[in-house]
Amino acid sequence: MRLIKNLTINIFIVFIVFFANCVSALNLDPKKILDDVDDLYRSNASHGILTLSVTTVNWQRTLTLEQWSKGKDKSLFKILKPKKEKGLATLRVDKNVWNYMPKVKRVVKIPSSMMSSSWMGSHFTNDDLVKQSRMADDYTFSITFEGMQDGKAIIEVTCLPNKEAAVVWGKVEVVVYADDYLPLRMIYYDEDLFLSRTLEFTNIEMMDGKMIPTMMNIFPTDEPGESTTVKWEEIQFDVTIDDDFFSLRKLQQ
Amino acid sequence: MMIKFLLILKIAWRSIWRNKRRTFISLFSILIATCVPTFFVCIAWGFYAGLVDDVARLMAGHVTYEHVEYRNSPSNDLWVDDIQTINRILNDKDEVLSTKQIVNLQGVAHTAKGAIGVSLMGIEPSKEIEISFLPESIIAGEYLSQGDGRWVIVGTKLAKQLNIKVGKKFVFTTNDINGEMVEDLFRVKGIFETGSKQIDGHFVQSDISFARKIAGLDNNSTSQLGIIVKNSDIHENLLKEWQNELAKNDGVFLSWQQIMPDIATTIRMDRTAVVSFMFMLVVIVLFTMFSTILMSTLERKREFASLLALGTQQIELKLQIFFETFIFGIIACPLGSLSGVGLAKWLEGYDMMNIFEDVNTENMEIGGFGMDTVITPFFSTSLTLQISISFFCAVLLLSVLPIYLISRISITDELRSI
Amino acid sequence: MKIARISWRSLWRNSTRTNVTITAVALCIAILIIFQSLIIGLIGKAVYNTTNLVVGEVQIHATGYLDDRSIYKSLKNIEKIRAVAKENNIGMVERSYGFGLISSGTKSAGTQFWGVDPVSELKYFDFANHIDEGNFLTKKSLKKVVLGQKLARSLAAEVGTELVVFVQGADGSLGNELYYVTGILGNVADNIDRGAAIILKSDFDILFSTNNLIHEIALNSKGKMEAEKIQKLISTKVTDVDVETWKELMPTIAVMTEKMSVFMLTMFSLIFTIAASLGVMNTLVMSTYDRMKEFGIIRAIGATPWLIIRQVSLEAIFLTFLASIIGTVIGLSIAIYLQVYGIDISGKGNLAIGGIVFDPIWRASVSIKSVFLPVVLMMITSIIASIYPASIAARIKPVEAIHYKP
Repeated sequence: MRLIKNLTINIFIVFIVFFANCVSALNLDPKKILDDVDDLYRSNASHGILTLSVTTVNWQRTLTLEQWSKGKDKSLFKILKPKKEKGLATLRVDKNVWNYMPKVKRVVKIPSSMMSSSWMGSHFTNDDLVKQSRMADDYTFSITFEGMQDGKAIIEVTCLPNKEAAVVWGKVEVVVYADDYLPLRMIYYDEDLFLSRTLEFTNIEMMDGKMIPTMMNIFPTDEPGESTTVKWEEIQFDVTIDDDFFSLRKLQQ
Repeated sequence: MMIKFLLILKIAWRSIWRNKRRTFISLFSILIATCVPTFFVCIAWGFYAGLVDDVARLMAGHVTYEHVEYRNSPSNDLWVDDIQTINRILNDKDEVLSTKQIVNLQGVAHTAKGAIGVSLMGIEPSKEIEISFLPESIIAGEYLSQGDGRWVIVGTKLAKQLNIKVGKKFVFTTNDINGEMVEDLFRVKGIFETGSKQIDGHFVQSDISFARKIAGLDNNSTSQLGIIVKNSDIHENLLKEWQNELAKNDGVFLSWQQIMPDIATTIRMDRTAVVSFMFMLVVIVLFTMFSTILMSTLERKREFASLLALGTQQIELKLQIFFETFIFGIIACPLGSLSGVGLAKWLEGYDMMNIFEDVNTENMEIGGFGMDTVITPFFSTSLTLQISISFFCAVLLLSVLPIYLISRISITDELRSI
Repeated sequence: MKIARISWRSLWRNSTRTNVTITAVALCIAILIIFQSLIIGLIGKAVYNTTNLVVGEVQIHATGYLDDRSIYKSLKNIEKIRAVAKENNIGMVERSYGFGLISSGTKSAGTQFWGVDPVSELKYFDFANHIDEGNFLTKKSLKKVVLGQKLARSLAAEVGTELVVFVQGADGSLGNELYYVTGILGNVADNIDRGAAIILKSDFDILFSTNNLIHEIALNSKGKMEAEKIQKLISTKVTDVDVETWKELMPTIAVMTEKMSVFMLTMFSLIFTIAASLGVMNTLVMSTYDRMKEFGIIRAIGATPWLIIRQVSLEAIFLTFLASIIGTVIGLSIAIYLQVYGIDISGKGNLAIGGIVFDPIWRASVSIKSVFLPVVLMMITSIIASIYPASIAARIKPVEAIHYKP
């Protein structure tokens, strides 16, 4: 079983971006920021295609996935390539995760004991898929650096988890571009403040009317040489999807 | 008649002391015979009671009240309700020493380093401190107290694998009673070491109200109600009685033998061993005693023959032998019991592990639970008396053959020579 | 030699007393023999259970495999190991391990998958015979799985139940298959009961996208060779692997068998011997006093104290010797009976010590050792026990002895 790291993506990143914005403006409400930020990668609903590349010390793989999401609680992923795993899908509704395997035509619910195992073989876990909604409640933020670094104007925001927040990290540092607040890097530390993993954002492009970093790399610290890369090939925002699209029945189609 | 009795008694007494060596040897063998079984029973019974008690106290109790399907496949969504009432009624009963409520949840503990499957047990700290040995196993930090909330205790193995110490946090993920995934933050208040890999590596204990909150249970419901009874030999009828009287819905009362059949078998096997050993020992020693008594009779055949020739009644001689045996018994048996108990008391508190210096304590397990290697004898006046009296009776019975032989003395044969 | 004859005759002068004592001592010896056999039987069973059931006498893993059970830490020099095993006629099985999710529709659990060759498992190990329901795998059992007891219960699975299996393969791909339960094991060993799903090696390879990766080789000579010897044999021929004996793999059993049994045996033997020697001493003392007059006369005509001691000691030896013969006959016959039939202490549960489940029928194991030791012990203690009475006889002044009145 792979080592499990708890990771929050999407909402968290974007939320940070906007919070950074808020701090310099000194009159923005963090909660509102969070909601606005949701929209960056999601809006109310989104539909897109992404590639997931995983490099471990033993193998290297690339998957192409089609993704739908609605709100914060529903998402559906389907593997398009490679052919061997085509049709394999993951459905997430609220805090539950199901996997559909076309080869055996069966759905399996991930039990809580396996939630920390890797999702689709990547450095993400099933947990990461469901953990998206509570970042605002869980951290306290402050700007720790504003200025030039490596030829770029950046702002560094340090997030410390609230005492009672159910997060395993001790500290998260978010580095964003000073001009448009797009995320550049996120660094996760464990409770003893040792580096645990790094997340890099690159390839800022225009997609469906928004500028977003289309590539995300995770580098776990105690597995040197390993990484997972997510690249958005295309994404459409504000699409209309019915609620019952996110159902087990749909999962099997 | 009475005077004759006393006379014979006096003769019996005197004749015993005439042959001091023989007397001492006989007394000594009866003493050993009573001492050793008494000693062993104290030690062995104490060991088993201790084992059962230890496990019962660590887990739920000698008897638990839980959902009928819980034993077969324990899952978070099986619970029993109406606990407050049942609890109150049970506590009023004579046989019950105390009760405690437990909430069990299976889940996963995560830190930045990794995740491990664990069992969370929510307990009432005030009760646990009195009856469980977990508080004594704390090697870092402190044991729980009421209202600790998210401050929990974990085992050394778990702490090591997740890289957490006292004061550090970890996230606990589980399914609540509705099957919904929930998670919460825990902090380490203390770390314990019991010697059992299973407990030290996968066991977390918290205050029960916090566990209830996570599970989504109300105050009147719990996973298990544990009952500690005064006598750990649970009678089936008692359970049936409680079942009819108190059980609601899908609740069922189970004894520790049903909960931990592995331990029950281990104990039974060991007890069988000890009992067989004692049986054999008793046979040996009785035989020795028998030979002593027999010999002391046979050697005095000539003497008895003379007495018979002079007009003593057979019955009087028989009575004399009986009294001699009686006196042996009355002196030696109590002394034997006392020395057996004394020996056991002397060994009390001695840690058997001292004999095996190079053995890693960590690995002594029986039935998945750490074995307590300190000798804790079981002292029971009734049991000791029982043993003592049985031996005494045995001794008396041994005199039957010699007594019978009196009647077979042929006066002429004995007195034929000088 | 004359002393011997005198001693022998003296014994039989009071035949009742002698017979009684012989019976007592014989009983002691018999019981000691029975007990020794039972204890050795228990140990033997424990060792047998450990080695013959599933662990084997020696196990070989890639260096560090047992620390994290990484599927990538597989054995490389299998051919060499096979050669060594074949040469020395040691039974060998090869096993693959992987971790994943198994689901019966309503319930799912994480479990360890075993890829095995059923023919060799059945040939060299016993756990495959401990089937509670259904059957073990055969060469043709494609897509069939055998579950540990507790795992089957927690999945609510029976023979024929369909199970979905979902794992991450060695190449990172997501393996998923449907298996059907063909058998459920009885209680074997804790780790197997809780989480073992046993499948054919070929199925394992398909599921985990491996190409015959072997993680564990277990060797079982069925007692023909000592575990340590096998270990040495392998380590000299093959490098870069962890070769461990069952004692290193399961230290609790090792402790139990070696230390506790010795401890118990010594303690019990001591107590029995003391009890028996009391009987011997008792008899001898009484007979010595009876013959006080004689001893006095012999001393008066020139016998040395040493002579008397020798005589009494010889009496003790003869007594014990006779008792030994009778005791051995009785003890041996009962022990052999117990070896064949055993004592049944089964209840509703299973005996579990140190992670291995025991068969609750307690059998004795008769061997030269279990007979020899008690007898020798008895002899020695009898001789010691005879010293006291002998010294009494030896020390007394001849004049007093002659006038001695009991």
